[in-house]
Amino acid sequence: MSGEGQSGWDRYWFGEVSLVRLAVFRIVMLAAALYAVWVFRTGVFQHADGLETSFLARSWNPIYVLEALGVPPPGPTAARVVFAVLLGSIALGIVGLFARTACAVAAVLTFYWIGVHYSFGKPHHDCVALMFGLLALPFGPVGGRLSVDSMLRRMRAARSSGAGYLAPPDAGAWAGLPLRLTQISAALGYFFAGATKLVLAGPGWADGYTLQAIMLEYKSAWSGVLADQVALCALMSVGLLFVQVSFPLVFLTPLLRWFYVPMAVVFHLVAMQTMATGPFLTLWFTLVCFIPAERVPAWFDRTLAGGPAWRRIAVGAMLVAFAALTFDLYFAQVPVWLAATLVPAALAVGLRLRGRAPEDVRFDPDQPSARRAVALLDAADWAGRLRFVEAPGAADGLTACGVSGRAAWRRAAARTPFLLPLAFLPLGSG
Amino acid sequence: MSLLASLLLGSALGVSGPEVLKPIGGPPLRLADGRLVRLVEGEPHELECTTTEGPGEVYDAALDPAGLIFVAAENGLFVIDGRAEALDPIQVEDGAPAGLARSLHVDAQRRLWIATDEAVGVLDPSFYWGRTLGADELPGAGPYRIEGRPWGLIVYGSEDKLRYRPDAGDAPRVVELRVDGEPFAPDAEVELRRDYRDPIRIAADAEAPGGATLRYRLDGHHVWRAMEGELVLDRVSPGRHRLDVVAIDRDLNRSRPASVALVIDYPFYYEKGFVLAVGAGLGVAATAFFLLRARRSGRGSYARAVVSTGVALVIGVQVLAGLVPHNKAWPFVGFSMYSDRYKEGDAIHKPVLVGLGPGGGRWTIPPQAVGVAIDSPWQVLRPVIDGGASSSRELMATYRKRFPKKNIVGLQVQSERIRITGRGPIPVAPLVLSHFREER
Repeated sequence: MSGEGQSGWDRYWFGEVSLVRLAVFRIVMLAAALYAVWVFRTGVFQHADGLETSFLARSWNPIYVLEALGVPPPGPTAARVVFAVLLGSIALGIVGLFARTACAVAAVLTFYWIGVHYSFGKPHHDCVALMFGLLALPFGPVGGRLSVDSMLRRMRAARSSGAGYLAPPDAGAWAGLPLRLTQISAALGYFFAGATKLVLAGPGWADGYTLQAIMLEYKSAWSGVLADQVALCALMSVGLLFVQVSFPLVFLTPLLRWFYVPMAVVFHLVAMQTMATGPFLTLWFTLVCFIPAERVPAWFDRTLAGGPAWRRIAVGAMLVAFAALTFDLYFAQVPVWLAATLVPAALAVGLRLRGRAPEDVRFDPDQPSARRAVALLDAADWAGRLRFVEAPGAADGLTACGVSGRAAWRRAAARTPFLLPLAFLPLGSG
Repeated sequence: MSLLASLLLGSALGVSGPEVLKPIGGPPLRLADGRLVRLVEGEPHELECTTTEGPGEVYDAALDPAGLIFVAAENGLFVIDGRAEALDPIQVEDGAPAGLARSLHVDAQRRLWIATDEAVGVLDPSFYWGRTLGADELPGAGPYRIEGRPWGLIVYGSEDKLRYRPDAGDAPRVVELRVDGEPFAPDAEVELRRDYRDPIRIAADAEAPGGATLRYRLDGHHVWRAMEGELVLDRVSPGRHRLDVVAIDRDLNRSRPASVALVIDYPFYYEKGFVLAVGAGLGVAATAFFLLRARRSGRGSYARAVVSTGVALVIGVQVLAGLVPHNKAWPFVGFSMYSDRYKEGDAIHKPVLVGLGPGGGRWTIPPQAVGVAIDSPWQVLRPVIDGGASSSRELMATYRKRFPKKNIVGLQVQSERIRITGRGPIPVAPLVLSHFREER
């Protein structure tokens, strides 16, 4: 859908936005949902199984939605069924198979799972933006890119020699809806978190003693160093209030995202290290809604593959440190087998994003297997590392990197972030 | 100097004289010439104080079985323990004896007995509320002094002395509970429904040796608050609540609670029907608006109109939740965290569960270590405080199953405290909210 003739409201919510951006958002949000679901499983299962009742001073006090709908807490069997379906739907959503349905199921069941956990205790804030983002995901074309759905779609087109197996769509209508609703939810959260401090406690909240007291009460690794300095606490308080209350300014211009998104991450990091808030990792992940992921490869090219060495080293070190910290926090909670699967995949994605000149892939458009291989490669080539050239009569149907046939497929697949693990499958062989 | 402290010290340290106190987990303290000092490798070290004027002349100090040391001094009552570096003033809640405290004694039930110039009384050392003995029970005029004995204490007046045996007579009891003038028996299972706007008036009659006082709590809070005369609960939040009232005798023995369940009706705007009607009305109005707009411009669709309505409502309710936070409305919860304000001189409290080992060992036990998922440590701590020895034993049994190598012989619930001062944060003695140690 073109934006021409649309009102501002329609353009904002339903206009065309990058499908890669939405796809990356889908993957990250579902990874965040997996984290939350996994962390809360102990509480839900303990109540479902009725374990340790003498120490479970928590009773069923449902959140309003569950109360209004008359939804009871799950029993032992129901909890396990929900958990299994939830994990399955998250996995399908992440790989993008039946993406829209999987996202819808994952959103509803994640709401139920977290809602049940909160109904046995106190609702918290860290999953608010996550929840709105998840619930909005199925409204967008979430399987349009970086998904098994899109690959299958293009493979089918390639098999029937129909058009559309090359040049995947860059943008889609409604793709911005989940991103923008999540952005607004996150911004409202930060704004009200700061505004309530100012309204309820007054500007005196920033005199340093309150932050000092909070750090001392929720003592963590860095509390001792920072809480000793009232003047430093006062400075941090002012900074914290400024970032929280002014966060909605992030919508004024995309340039401000370079300030507010890193500041939000720093805020959560410092809060975790001084106030024992926990990492707020779900909210941290949610901030990906502000990042135009489709431009990341080009940014990598500009920043890491070119420019002065000091900048490359500094930016590279920062990114590596941030990634290491995020992985450390994430995999401290989720199971080891998942880490063993995802860490190499993420490393492969990161390495494949390095700047390089595109490699020509020459293929015979008359050979169905070559078309299928090219469709698959093109669908996965988020970073634009391959350039496809029609070459009737190409050797073995496919040539790339000076080799042909299956070897060409492997070389080309290894250049795309998402096909590296599949590079050794016999797909695309002549 | 209290006898209990003297007995504990002499054997523990092999030091003679009644002036040395041995706190758990720290070097001994010596009281001499009106000064309390810490002995580090035999050398005296001055103790800090969180008040600028300090304690002044120290008259007496008493060791609590839970490890605290209470200090009677010229400038009031103070507390310290083995790890804290500074004396911290005790802020007495209510019921303490008037006058300047001159001598102290902590008995085996952890009651802090205090003799002052003018009166004799007893304080709960966990929450610092207490009772004062009647003038007719005292041996003539003051100033008074007390000495602990295994059976009770001896109270010395200026001219006479009294052997005081606590816990004599009948247990305290609540005779009648009245809610808005309507009387109920203390053991009745009562459930009352009230409008959230109406104040609820609670009164009670009680009997106890030495006269009963009353305390209450709402929803199982660990602090029992004083109930003097009629208690008026105003603007109780909607939902289900439980009010407990207990009678306290002059020795701080507590009756069984008389309880009443209060069901406070939600205001009409929280009623399910009203919320649904308003929500549906707004939804229909918004949908109509978006549909009309789409039709007029000729470029809309029904799907976009419906989704636009949803988006507008979701954002609108999020803003509403930010203005009126209510966490049960999750995910529309608002954000009112960390909005309390602290000032210089305030104390920071952190509730913790502490395992006690033989020979003075102690360690913090995360509530999750006993295998439960929690939102707040109070979920685990409150039953321990309320349940006394039986709850502590039960929790220790669970802990032993999970950590068989840990030699746990006791359990405390502490509120660790740090005082914010102009000189920076100073760790002070905790409040020991419950203390249990297995008999050897």
